[in-house]
Amino acid sequence: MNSILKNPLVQRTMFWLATTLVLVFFMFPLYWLVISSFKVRGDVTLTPPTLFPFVQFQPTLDNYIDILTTTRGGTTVASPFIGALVNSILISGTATLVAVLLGTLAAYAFSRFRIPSEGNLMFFILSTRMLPPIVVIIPIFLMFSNLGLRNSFVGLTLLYVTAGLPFVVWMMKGFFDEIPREYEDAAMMDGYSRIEAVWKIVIPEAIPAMLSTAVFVLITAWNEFIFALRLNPDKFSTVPPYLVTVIGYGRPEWARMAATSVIFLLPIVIFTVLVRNHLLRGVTFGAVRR
Amino acid sequence: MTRKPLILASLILVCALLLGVVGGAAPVNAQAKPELSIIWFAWPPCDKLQTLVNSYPAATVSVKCVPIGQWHDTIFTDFVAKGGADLPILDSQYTGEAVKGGHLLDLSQWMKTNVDVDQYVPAALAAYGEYPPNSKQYYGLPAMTDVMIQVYRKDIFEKEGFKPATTWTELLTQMQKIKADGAAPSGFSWFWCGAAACYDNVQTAWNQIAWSFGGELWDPTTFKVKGILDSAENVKALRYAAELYKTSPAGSGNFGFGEDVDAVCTGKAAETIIWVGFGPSFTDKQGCPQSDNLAYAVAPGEVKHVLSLGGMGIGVSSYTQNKDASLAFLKWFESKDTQLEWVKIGGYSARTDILDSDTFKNAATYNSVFADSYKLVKDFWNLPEYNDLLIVQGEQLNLAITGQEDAQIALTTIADKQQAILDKAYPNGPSGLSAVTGGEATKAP
Amino acid sequence: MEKQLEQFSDVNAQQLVRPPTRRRFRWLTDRLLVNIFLWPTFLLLLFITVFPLVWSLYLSFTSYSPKRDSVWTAAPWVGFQNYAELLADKDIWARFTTSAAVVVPTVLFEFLLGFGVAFLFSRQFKGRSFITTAILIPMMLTTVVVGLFWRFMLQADIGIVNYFIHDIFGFPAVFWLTDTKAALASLVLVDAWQWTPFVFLISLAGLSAVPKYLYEAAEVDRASGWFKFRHITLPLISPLLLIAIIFRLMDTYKLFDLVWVLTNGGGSTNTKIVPSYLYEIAFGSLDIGKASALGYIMLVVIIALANILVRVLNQLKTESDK
Repeated sequence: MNSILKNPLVQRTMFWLATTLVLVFFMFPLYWLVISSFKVRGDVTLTPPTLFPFVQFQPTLDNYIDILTTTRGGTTVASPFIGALVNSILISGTATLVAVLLGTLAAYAFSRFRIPSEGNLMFFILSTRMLPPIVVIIPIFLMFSNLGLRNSFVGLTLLYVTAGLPFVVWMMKGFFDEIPREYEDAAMMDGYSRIEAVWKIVIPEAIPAMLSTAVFVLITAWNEFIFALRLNPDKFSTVPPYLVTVIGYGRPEWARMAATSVIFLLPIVIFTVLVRNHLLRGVTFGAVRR
Repeated sequence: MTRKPLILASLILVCALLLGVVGGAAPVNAQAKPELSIIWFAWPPCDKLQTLVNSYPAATVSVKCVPIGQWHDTIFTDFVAKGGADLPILDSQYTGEAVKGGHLLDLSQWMKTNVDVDQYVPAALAAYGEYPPNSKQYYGLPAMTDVMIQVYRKDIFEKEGFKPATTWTELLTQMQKIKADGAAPSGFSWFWCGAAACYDNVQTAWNQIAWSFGGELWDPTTFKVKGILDSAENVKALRYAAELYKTSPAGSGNFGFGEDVDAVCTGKAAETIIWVGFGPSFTDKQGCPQSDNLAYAVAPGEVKHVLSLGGMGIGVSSYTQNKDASLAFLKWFESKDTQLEWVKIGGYSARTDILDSDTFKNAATYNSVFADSYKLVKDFWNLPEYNDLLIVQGEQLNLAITGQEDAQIALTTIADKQQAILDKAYPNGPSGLSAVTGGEATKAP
Repeated sequence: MEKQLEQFSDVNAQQLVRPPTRRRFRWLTDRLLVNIFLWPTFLLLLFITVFPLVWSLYLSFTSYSPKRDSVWTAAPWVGFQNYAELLADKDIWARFTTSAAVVVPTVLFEFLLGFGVAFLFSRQFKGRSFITTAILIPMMLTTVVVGLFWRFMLQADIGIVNYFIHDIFGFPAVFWLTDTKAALASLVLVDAWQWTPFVFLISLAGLSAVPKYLYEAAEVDRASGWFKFRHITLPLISPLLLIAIIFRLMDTYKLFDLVWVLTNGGGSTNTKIVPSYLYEIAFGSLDIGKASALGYIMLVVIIALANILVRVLNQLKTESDK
């Protein structure tokens, strides 16, 4: 028995078998989602299911056309999904820009200057990330309602900025700590003021890190559901709450759901592939580095 | 020195806030044509209503259809934020909560001169807008009337030699036979879901069985639930529902309306009993493969014949920026001509002159069934605590029906919890009911 | 590093052609700069995180409900009544039990699977980076969408999962989203699908950081595979694994979107975990006072949990430093 297991060929076979199983578990749902989005409405619920496009069913773009357009008064116009998508792009984009900007500056200050009780402050920043959103949504809902920030562009954006800030500060601090101080010191010896040194020396060095940080902030804001649902139900409502309604009220519209999901997930997948080497740092707040 | 940046940062923040305030309190459009908004939940009549209001000349009206599980929460969180739709369509039982919060305009005086009050089924006026009960204070007008009807497969019934059941017991026998014979994969499909996300699904379904079995939910004169909801009749009614559930499609314990429609339309189940408002989902030949095989009948009774009241009232939000335009719209919507158009495209009216008209009777195949059924309806808990009572009821009913809990235990649990909710809200019994109004429609804002 | 320094001196050389004016931005001292850099961040955190928290602490001692009180200032102070009522309520314990029934198996499952896959992939093989990246995608996806398409796949009759279980392998069909236990299992399964990659990623980093020479030395001593794992691998990577567990524990405890979309409460209370219950009190019943109190109970639990785990983590770290 033991000798069989030690046989390299058996070992290799077992390894690839296990790898295939793992891949199927993680990838099949996405494959199923994508092919379902190209099926006609009735075909998504067929038993036995059709698994192979072109072989078992003819792919169609109907679902995509269906969710992107809508007819109003006889003319074809952009659907509410497009509106929600635009809101999602604007809100998460603006939030990311502001969060990365503010967070990078704060991180630089933490990294380069002596700040009283720095450890506590950094921990305070981190601890705000640990808060369950469901706990803070009640007072934020009341506060935004009273300030007129509900159903506004600024309200939700401000919220996503704040949600992204702790992450940016921690990520960028870790990064600045790795850039030798000597860079700026030398520049300042040459007559630059501090702000010029930051602008001309440090920021250009930091841009790759800022970009990968931005991707994480963007995806977090892009994915956010509960605040979007309760704070921005009307104007400026984003895609995640809209997605829940795509199934509809009659027979569940799985094909439409699949098409909408594919469009919404596509940017995430692309960005994930782009920052694949920074994922580890990203998911652990820069706590773990390779 | 250190103060400067503080001031600067605060300034930035204040600017951002101001921007938000400006964006949030969107300035009222100075356009000639006002914009009005209506909120309802997503189901066929909501789409039809958008079609109807497109023909309203005096304003641009948009209808927002939210998933049913979010309907109550969206309307009431909007109210808390002093915003939301100008004309919310509220479930009949929401009236109490909305009125007590001061969220709706008092329409009592206004409707005397602007609406043909005499033309309405009196019970409908009470159900969709009166609070407190029997006070003659109205905060809403009927937007839609509704009742559940049998939707069954006439081909299967013919083969089995069945006629639509007139009692629940008969229905159960039929469904068991259909399932045993394999005439359909399963017998009776229903929206058994009792979670908060499914709103009032299993509650309205089961309540009418309980009433028909001779039970009651509570005593509105003493506010007692204990000893009434956990009665022997209700236990029997709940055990009955658990038996009926056994003929349902696999995994139907969380079915909502959508899954229920799907089960009948795809031929998984031979029958359901569902709100008439979903009728268009069954008559749509493209969306519903079994459409041609479906027929409609009045839902059964038992020792009594009582059906759950459906339908909703439409009110005017206290927070509307377009009070006059909203009232003008309401007047138009409740007029005979508009109501006639409304029933033509799939809406249901509470006006007797409409209900008796041939236009209505011929508008859909099941409208005569509706007319017969609507005489049998009964409503429940028109109280501000409605939503809390409803959640308790739904969860326990679902557990008992799906066999996860004994019927007696479930009903005792409901009775205890609901009694506690009522005792807390009304320590002195029904005399604690009072209305705080959000202003009258006829007075200046 | 060497190369970077070179680049830097290039930059500098260019700048030297036109030396910057010495006087520019002199008023912008380091001290002022620190304030300008830090205050926006702190103000935002104070405004959007700290202030709401303090406010909701106040509200938790009132009986504020917009149903009864027109403004929050009108709400009567009730002291600890909300907390007392909640802690005496059988339901709240049932909700915490349901939460635990989701959190514990989920984290365990994610840990075992994630670590297992990382162990499998810790060697070099063809296509490793491609497969690794592919596996990592789920954790970046929108939870709402993940919930939606798994709901589609877990449908009792038309779902693809039951097609494989029942039609292909002949096991009885599972009523994933409705049955008491299966509904919880659905949550565990879907959360594990999405977040096992997270544990996998961290485990992989840990495993590849173990110095090779340690294994080689053990090889010389003819140590068994288990011995190497138990005495070399595990002590070295346990701090990292604990970090992964802390993150996952906190996040599953906060889980809300997935439950909302996937099971709808499983037809009843089957998957009603603490955050779902809190949402119901807050936005269904609009009982803000009680909801705020429950929020604080949630917070106390999570802080206690985090403290214990961080203490264990520090102990592990000091041990491995020895």
